[in-house]
Amino acid sequence: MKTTFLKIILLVAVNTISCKAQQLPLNTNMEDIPINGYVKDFDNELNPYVGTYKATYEGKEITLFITKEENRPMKLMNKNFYNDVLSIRYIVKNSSGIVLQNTKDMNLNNQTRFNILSMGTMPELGKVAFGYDGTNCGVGWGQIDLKKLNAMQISWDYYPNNRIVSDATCPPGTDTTVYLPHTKGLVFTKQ
Amino acid sequence: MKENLFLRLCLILTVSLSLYSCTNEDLYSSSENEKQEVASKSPWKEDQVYIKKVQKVFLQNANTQYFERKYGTVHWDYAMSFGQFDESYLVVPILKGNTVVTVMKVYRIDDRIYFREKNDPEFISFFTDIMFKEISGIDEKVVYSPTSVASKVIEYKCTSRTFTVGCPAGYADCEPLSYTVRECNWVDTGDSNGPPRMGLCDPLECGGGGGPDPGILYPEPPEEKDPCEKTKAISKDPAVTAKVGTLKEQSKIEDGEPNYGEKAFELKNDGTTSDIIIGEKHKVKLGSEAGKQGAYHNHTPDGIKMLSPPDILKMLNYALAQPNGNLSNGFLGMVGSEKCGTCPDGYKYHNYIIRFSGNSQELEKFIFQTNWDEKDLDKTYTRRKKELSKDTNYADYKYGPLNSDGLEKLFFDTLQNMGMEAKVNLQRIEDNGTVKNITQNSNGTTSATQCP
Repeated sequence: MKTTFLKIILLVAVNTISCKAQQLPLNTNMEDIPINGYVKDFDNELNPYVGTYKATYEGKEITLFITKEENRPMKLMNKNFYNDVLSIRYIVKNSSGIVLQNTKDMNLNNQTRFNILSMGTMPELGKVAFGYDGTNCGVGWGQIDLKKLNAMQISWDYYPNNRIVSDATCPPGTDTTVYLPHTKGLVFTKQ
Repeated sequence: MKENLFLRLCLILTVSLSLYSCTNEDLYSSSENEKQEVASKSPWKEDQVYIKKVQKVFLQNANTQYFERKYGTVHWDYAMSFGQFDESYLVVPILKGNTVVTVMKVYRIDDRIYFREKNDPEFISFFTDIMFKEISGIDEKVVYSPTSVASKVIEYKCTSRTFTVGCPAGYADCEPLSYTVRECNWVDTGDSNGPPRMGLCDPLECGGGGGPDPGILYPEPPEEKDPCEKTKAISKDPAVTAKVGTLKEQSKIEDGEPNYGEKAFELKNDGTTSDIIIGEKHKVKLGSEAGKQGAYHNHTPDGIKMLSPPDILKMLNYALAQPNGNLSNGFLGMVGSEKCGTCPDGYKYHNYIIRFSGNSQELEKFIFQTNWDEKDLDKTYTRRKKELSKDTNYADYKYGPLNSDGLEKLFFDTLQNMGMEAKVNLQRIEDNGTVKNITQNSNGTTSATQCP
């Protein structure tokens, strides 16, 4: 009786540990990630991008704040899992130094827009791919690719998608201007 | 001995059942003889095809004596379809003596009709006036009025009927009075919150009672054109072709060049097109879906050249706005282009149309009962695109833009993620106007079948 009880305890414990700790490489497809799985940056491929970077584009000054979030809770395909990600927050100022958009001080989570989170790497290109939720109403949502050029510089490519809106989905007067630079090959310098 | 008894019992049962059914047939046929088809006395134009067919179904299924005892006599000559002419809706007064006691409404969903009691004082008094008073004037207006359900604003087609009650001869100081009633083509889902079912016959005789209303089979519902015919009709329309051409040119303009951005046009229910709607760099604003079959818009050079989750949700609203039973008349179209060295004019075009292919209950479920996490849908779509671009079967080059196979796979993966597999029809329109139905194979790849 006692042995059976111990066996059950052991089974439950092993099960719990294995459920929690199933670790998968960074570029695992979403459908292959089990519930509560952990998509881990085993080779620290994301680390070189961490830092604060600046560039100017069409008279605007763009500052990127790139941080690494380990074990970040994610919900995709209605499935909860954990992911090591790079997160980009930004401040865009016009030529007079007035802030046009600042997501650095925003309270962001999976339920908000404005997140820029890495979706994986593109090893052959030496790039990291990010998904951008877009500004208000999801306008400008799409993919951003960053490439590490050297210790001080990264290159930026932005591929915004399209969106049909209506007064019901996006109330009139909402600021839907995309302040991020819509361009490819823009070089940012580390501060 | 036991076997013998069983056989005898069976015999008695068979005889009694056949006798019973004979009596019932007599009852029905006698009531059918009594009720001849009557010309409409409504001062408005009504859907006579639907009214006559519903009357026939009613007479075949109702025990008239029971129905008259329970509710009253149905006056089919005053049945009204309130601006609907697609065999979908009617209201008819029920009288006891010379008094309108209640109103029955009969609506159709696909090939079934539902008999419901509309015990609405406004409608009872409306029918009383129309049937028994001197009417000196009538009017009818169709309006699209917004309704808010589950935080979504949907517009429904509503028909307002106004009539003026005149003054009896000799009453010089009387002023004619006008009244208005309004009915909207809101689709009832047959749930318990809807108006009560009407018992057409004694539940002890004909069963029924609890459970959801299964409705009654409606003979020969209006035939729907298949998606191929619908899209071929659109793609052959010169006005549509010209405007899709404008959107194709629009889709080539890069950011930084003049006029960069999204544009669209709408196709109205009467077949005419709206002017080109000029959007902004990354968005285009469309008005209400009411009175429109759908819309076409362009995606810009850096955008994914496929209909996205927000596009799919927009298409659902067009489907809902279609007159009842013709959900797949609603559509959303998209054109995008990419530079291509080997293509005739230096560009390859991606031209797709989507339509809802499920039934009304499924559509209501997707629109009203599903709490979409739109950010999750967008994120999943973007990440899935990145995943597919690893495979050069699906991308122009590794991590590059998706080719047709990749775009179509992305669309079906998105449908699966939204729980809408096989509920949306995807069609590709080739440059020469050929329409192809795109379907997913069991191994996840897609096939294109040319429309006949």
